Amino acid sequence: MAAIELRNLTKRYGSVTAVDAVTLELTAGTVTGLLGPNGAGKTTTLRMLLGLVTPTSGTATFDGRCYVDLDKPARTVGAVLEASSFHPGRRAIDHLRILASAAGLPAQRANAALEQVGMAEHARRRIGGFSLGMRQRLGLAAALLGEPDVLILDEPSNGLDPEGVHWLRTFIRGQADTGRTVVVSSHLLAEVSQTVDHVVIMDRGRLVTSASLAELTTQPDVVVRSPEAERLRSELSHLGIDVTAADDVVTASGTTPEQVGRVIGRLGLVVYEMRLEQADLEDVFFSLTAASEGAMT
Amino acid sequence: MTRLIRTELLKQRATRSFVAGVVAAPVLGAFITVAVYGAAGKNGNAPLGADSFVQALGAPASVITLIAVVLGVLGMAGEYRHQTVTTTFLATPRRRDVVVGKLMAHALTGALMGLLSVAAAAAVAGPWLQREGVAVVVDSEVASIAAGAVLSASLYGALGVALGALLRNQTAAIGVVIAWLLAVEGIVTDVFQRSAFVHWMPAAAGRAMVGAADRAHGLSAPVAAAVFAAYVLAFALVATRLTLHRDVS
Repeated sequence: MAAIELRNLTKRYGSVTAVDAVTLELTAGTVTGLLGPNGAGKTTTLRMLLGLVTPTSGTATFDGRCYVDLDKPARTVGAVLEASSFHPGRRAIDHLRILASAAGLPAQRANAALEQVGMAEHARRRIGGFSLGMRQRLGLAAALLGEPDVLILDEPSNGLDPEGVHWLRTFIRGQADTGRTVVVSSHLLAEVSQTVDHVVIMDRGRLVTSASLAELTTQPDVVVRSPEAERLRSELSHLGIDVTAADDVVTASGTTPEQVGRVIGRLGLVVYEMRLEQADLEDVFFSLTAASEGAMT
Repeated sequence: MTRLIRTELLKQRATRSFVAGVVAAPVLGAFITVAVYGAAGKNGNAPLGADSFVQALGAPASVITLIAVVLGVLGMAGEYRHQTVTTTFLATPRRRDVVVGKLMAHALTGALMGLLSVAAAAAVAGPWLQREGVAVVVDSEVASIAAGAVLSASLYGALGVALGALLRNQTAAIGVVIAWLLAVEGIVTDVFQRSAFVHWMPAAAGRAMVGAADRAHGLSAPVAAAVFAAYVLAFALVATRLTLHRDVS
């Protein structure tokens, strides 16, 4: 059974459809990047999953059960939804003890969770004096209180400095290595691509794609720079290979350097450069969301 | 439910404004007694007499109930202001339990504040009256006023939670409370002073609980307590229902 399952999940605010019939299964033990531009419906989807927003229709479940029906939700799911869910006058340790108490967890978990995120020395400090990075870590500590199987992080790198982003990336991979299912939403594609196994892309409330990172970014293009680019393009096209040419550069998709190399050899072309170009997640994202936009117009 | 009440009390202890409010209760109880007794017999004020002890016990109630209702508003609307409502509802997805836990916790805190103010007032008033040669009689009226002071602070604390849940904006909720207590009900009472219903209004019922209302025409303390409790229950039911169905976004 999928760890997380969305079935026709829809949320409408009046005439605006924030999330439009999203159906999705996320396997246990993977790190999933929920990607999309601002306004794509990522946060609303996560909030419906966590029982904070009531869906207009559809369901969102963890192992078949809605969040509000979980026996011990904090032991099943930990979530960080915003960096400012704190009373500024409270001490960090008190914030966590309160949440531990509400969730029926032992008070000692508060200290352990602070240590997990490297915040133990700030336990007695009031949260109002924390930097954004410290607040993000405290939020993560709160999510880890119940040692949950699933972690849901909504834009966790927002406002973090490069050191914080590096720490977060290591943290997420560390959590995945312990077998946790992690869902991390972001509009920072490059940052997420280094962390996730699986990618879900949303755009304007709709699910654009759900695939493994390998599936989305596999099969690099073969790029050749040659003064006889047009001859090469023509021959590759004749062989049914998807190819484009611009100036002296030919880009062939869905083929291999061996196949292109044989064509070059057979034609006796002069070649200045030949390389593989891996489409990164950002390219995939923009091509998919552009296709989605085209489909809607 | 015990766990949620304990959690809410933990939140209060971890927040300075709540600690200050509770500490202020006995200080105000003692200070108001000193101020009233110090002015007795001067500038046209009545001298200390047989009623002075019971007056001392009831005098701080208006201030203590105001603090209790404000703390109740802060306890609930503050969750929305600081967005802690998200983590609160994640830890306890059954929202009705959260609201009921808050109502009960703030009722307990209000009761504690009422008790501390009454105890402090009694601790100052008793020796003061004895020194002045006025007998201190602890009778059923004293017990009624003391109980009314404790109960009114308790109910006002719960009322604050209900108003906070209804309005979610703590400034607006506190504004509504102060406007009602200091202006609206007073104006309505002035306009309809011959009508009996003015004695059944919330602030009038609250005052009647501590014997501070119009004794000739007002409600008796038990009836006043029941009326005020009914107001709190009505607000609490509506607030709970709204909280169940509102999106937290």
